[in-house]
Amino acid sequence: MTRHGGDASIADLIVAMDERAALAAIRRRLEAGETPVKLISECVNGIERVGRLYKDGTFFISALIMAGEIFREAAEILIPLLEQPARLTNAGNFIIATVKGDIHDIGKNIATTLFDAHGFHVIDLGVDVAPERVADTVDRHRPDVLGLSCLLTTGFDSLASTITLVRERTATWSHPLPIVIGGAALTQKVSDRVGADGWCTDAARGMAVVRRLLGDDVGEH
Amino acid sequence: MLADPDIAARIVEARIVAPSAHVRDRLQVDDHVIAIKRLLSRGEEAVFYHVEYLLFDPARPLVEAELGVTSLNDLFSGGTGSGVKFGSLTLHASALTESEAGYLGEKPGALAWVVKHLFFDYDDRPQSWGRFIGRADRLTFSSTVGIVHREEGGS
Repeated sequence: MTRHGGDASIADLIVAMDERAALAAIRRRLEAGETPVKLISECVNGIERVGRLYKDGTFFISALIMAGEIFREAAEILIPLLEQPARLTNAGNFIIATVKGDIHDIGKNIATTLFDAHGFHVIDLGVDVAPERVADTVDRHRPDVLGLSCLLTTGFDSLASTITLVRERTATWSHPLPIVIGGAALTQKVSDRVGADGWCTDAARGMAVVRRLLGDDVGEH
Repeated sequence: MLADPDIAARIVEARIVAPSAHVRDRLQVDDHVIAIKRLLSRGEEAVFYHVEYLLFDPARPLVEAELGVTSLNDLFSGGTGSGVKFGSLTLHASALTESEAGYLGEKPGALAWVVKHLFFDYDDRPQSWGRFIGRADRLTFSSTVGIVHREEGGS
């Protein structure tokens, strides 16, 4: 049910969990000539606001699921409209997963969308993914980079065990597999402790970290 | 199996969906519901496939509470967390559908037990509805009747 008028921003509509109004606003503003990039940016702003409301206890997991759903549908509309020369080339193979014990997928889904838009072939393993499944998929697809998402601090041990197992499985590779971790609670200290090559607190910074690790430094983070 | 500490739960999917007519009827909602699919395993063996639909309310920890249900014991003992006043359980025999069989690593049509649950909140409104599906030959139900010493009683 649409509960909000036509003047609310897309970010406001996402925070209000008004899926239909948010998607209608996106379509309306596209028709009015606004760029997909600007609209994606507003969606990300809305997602980040939902994330903050989750962190302060106003919202619970169901809000994160809904916000992720709205973002996924928005991305289906907007991503194909992006003028991305990089989409024509393969920037690399990217496997991403939310680690075992954590079911949050908003950050992972945003990263999936961004990496896809930037020409990466993305394999998204979903949420609550066991270390063995991550390692098996790495074995099978030999990606250029691995991204592990983890919002909960209780998932840090899972990050560590996943990275340890992947390191064991890729020990004979001629080039070490870069592993990037993402999550709002991450720090350099956590990254060092779990053995990651890079870390980020949002998807945009994650893209910069991955490019740096792949030798395509764009000068962020 | 009811209180097996070695059972691990893995989320297969957690999404917001439009309710089917069946779910709409159970939960008495027309708008969005949260759909959670989980696989409960013991070691490498998939024991239960669990599908559940919850009311969507971003300001209530309904998903958090339901994720605490990792065994049938939780279900039977009311360990569903805060916000549940009462519930009903229905047990019936069934045959695995193709998707259920896929999750459980079995053949479609294999005999199964289905435990359906419907929980209500303190306003007596339906809060969640779902079902555990397990292979019939892996699940037995037993109870103790009569007067027994506590340490000898089982469930």
